[in-house]
Amino acid sequence: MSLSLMVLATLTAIIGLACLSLSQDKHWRVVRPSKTAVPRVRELRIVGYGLLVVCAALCIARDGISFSLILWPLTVGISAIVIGMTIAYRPVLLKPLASLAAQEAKA
Amino acid sequence: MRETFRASMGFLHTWSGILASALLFAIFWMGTLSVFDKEIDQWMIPETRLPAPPQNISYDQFVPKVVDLAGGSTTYLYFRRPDARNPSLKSYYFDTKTEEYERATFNPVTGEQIETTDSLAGTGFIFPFHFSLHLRWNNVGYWLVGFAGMSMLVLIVSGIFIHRKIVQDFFTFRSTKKARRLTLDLHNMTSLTALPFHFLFALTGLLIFASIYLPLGVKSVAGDDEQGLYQEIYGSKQLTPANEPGELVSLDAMVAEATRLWTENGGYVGPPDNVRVSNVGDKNATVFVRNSFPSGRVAMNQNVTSFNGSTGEVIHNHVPSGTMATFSWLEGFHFVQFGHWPLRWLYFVAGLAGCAMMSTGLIFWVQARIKKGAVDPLKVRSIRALTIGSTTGIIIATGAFFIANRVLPFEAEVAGFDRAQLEMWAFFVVWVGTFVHASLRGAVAWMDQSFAIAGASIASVLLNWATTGDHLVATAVAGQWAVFGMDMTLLAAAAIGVVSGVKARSVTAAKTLSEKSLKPKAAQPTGALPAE
Repeated sequence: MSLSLMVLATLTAIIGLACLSLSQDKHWRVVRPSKTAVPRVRELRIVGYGLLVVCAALCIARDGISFSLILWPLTVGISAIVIGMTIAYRPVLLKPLASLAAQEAKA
Repeated sequence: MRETFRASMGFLHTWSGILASALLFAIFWMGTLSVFDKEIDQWMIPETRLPAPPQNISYDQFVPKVVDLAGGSTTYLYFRRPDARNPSLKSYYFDTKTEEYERATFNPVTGEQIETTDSLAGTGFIFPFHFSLHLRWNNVGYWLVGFAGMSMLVLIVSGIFIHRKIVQDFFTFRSTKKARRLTLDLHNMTSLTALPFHFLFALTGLLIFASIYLPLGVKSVAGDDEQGLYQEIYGSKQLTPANEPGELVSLDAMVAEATRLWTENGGYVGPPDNVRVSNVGDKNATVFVRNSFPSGRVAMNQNVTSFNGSTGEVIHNHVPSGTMATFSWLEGFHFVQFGHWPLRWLYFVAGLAGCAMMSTGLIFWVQARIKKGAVDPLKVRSIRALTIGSTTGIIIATGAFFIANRVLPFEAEVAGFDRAQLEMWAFFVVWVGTFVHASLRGAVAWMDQSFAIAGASIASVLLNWATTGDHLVATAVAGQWAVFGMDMTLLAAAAIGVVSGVKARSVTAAKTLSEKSLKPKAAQPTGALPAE
């Protein structure tokens, strides 16, 4: 129970931050499925920040506010390094998410 | 003042960085290792590699044993409750023969005393290093650490101002770009992602020693009775000795009573973790039963109950003030004594990120100086040696500390230095050696020292196996996670050392080519620090 909540909290942070990174043009260009595809920036940001809130809720559910004041920023911060390194070394891992978030540029 | 606010912040960032980074790296490195200080203790003092202790611990059986050790009578007794991280029962006492405070370690299951390897290990060397640098003279170590902590706050705030694109650089790490760009990316990334953590760490570190840094604040409240103030804040008031002999009644009964009181107040989070008796043997002996480091809560030092040692009556059941409760949270955040494994590892990683932030900051500055054309060879060489010695150097020295711990004979003594001191000497001599090596070898030292980290780490793992028989499979099967984790972390360090060494070799090779055709350049790329 408590371990699965921790795993879930980490996953929400990682996916949330992946969404936020794809909403930035600089990172989108590394991962985009095709040259003409553009990201749904608004949706990516809503989902991204939303998942970070979910992550906070999971931390609080697991350990209470007092621990979560430390646990949440650290989980998010270290997940951000994981995403940064993924974009640098294994961008292909973010392709599925990029395909979901892609739309064709309007003429 | 510089022409713009941002430029003056850049100036501030550069200079406080140069002055404090080397020191900050040492503090952060030792602080990061302190997250696992008790595991390091188990690794370095193999006699204490015991299975997890039982829930019910009786202190009464240990009282006569410790009093015996102290020479038949004593004035001070302390017991630390064993737990999974620290499975042996530790007792501190005032030895009436030597007139010094001594330590005894017991097996909590059999009650037998354990003869332990003489080593300061994690809690005695690494942990105090990170706040005192082992420079006790006139508190100079504390002041240096205080200066570094304050500089860290200055660095973080000025860093935010000189950084233009905070949100966009959150994920930016361009591995394909030039070494200089990569260094700055790594610096920005580690700074930004762990910023709240690093800021709070520097701040709470300063707060913990605020009474040293701002003594007048304490004086204005307490006058000359500083001791009295602390006793009031922490609930540790003790009875005045009656100078009449008294018999110590059951400590276990007091522990049970304290547990009952805490549960009644709704503040109970775990069994009392330490018992301290002052004025032992006096009619007015005072027993403090405390839960200083609760495993289920961040805030420390919340539950303290004191008893009259000869009657067992409660003298005081402490309820900390609101201010103290807040401070206890901040203190608990810094001390990491709670039993939260995922969080413990996150602290460790974030601490390493802090080390990466400081070393990349230093490296970037050196690179920027060379790029700008300030290539006075002696200057570059000495700055580079300082950078290498204070980053990879201290890591190698830590490895030497572990190796010395495993190779020194049990009763080692050289020139009046006991075993524990010899281990410290190994650390400091090797550390100084890394500076000398770096100044002799120049940029190639990066590669040498990265490989040396790998070598020292692997040697430590093998020596642990050779001297204790506890290899990775054995510790994994036996569930000795402290030793297993330590060995695995050492192997991970070895892997990082090898990868860094190989990278350093290719960078150095490329640089030797490009340095020959180097021309002075004034322009800085966007986002770069205006190196002065």
